[in-house]
Amino acid sequence: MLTIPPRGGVHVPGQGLEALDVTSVRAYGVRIEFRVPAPLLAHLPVPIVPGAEQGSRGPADAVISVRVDHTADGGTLYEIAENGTVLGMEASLQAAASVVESWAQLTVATLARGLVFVHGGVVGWQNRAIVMPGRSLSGKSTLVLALVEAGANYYSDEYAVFDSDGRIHPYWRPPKLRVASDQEAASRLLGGVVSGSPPLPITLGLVLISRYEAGSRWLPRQLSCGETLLGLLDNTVPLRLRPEESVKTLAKAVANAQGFEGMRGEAADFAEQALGLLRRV
Amino acid sequence: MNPTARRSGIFVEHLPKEVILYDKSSDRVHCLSETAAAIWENCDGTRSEDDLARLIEARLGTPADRKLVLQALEELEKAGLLEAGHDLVSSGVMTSRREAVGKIAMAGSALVATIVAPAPAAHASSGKPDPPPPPPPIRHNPPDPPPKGPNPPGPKPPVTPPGGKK
Repeated sequence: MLTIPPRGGVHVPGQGLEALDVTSVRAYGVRIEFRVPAPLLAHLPVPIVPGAEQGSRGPADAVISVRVDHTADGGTLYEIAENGTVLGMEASLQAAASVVESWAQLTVATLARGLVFVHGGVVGWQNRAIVMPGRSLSGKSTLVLALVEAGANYYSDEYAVFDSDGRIHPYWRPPKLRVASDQEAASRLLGGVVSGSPPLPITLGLVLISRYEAGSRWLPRQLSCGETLLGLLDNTVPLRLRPEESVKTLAKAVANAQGFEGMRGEAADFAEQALGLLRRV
Repeated sequence: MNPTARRSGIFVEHLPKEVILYDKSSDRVHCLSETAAAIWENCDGTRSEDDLARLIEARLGTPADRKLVLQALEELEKAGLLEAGHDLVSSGVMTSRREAVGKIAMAGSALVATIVAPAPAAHASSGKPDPPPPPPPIRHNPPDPPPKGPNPPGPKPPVTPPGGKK
């Protein structure tokens, strides 16, 4: 990591220019450069993006920068930008780091070459993957943890990474839950797992599309091949940028898989039934 | 006027019994049932609804059903998959579009399922609602088309089944 005099750096009244750190990572073929205040780096995970190599060389696919601003009342604001376009403002280093991490991961998911990232949780069971596509706050991590507790292997709580043959690779990061007690449980369950080697790519077995409804029992409707594909495409990050690659890749993946859709209740009940479904597919 | 399929700017992927269409002009993805796909593929401006019904009968082995053809055409038209100019009313059987739609609505379930392709920004997970869309990436190769904007707000609609219940 190189600390450089800030080119276009931050003027802090009475303190001169505030130093920026420049660092970069390359993950899944995407190189991202970061220009951020040095103290922010302490709040970023290592690696910032799962599977990334630090300090790579070459032209950047994206530059994420954080500019420090000082308000009239003495407060501090952190302005986060990607390729010069402002993404947002945060009042704390920790919050700014969270946005930087999230956008770095999204940028990789969008631009990764030869791979299609689908927003969703993934577990492996008897060498086949269960993918639960869904956006943020849809309960992906909770479902993944419930399936791991029921005996499945952890692959990801954020993205299903499909290669050109339709196989699913792990997105190897610790699961992130918003409730502190859930996060502690996740750390106990998977802390040792994600510090080890990631599992091998596997073929798709099940796609489960569900929405939580208190008191519901998981009585899913079986989806056709096309509906299953549509369910994945609805959560495919690079779909608008690379529609043909996305559709072809996921069509291969669903060829021997089965999809189900329905309301679900508690995660533990869902997990038991999901593994039962995969046994029958 | 006989119906004509719109094909420009549409990427086609064939599945065993369905067809997926990606419409690059609207960033919508359509899943056509076997029946709807057969009709769309044969809407060449020369075939009438009756011709299409007979063709479906020959190809899929189902009895010729003009109502089913009209339903499929209605759904294809709503999805923007037919060239402008086709009108169910002109088929001579229906006295008005309202009547046509009313009869179609009773005929069965959807034959065309559609989603709006999500913009990359829809997948941001900073823990904050409604993040801004990401800027166009710096490209060193020929550029991909930029995202056309975030998804419309509101809850995600469920996938509607083409071809009815399983």
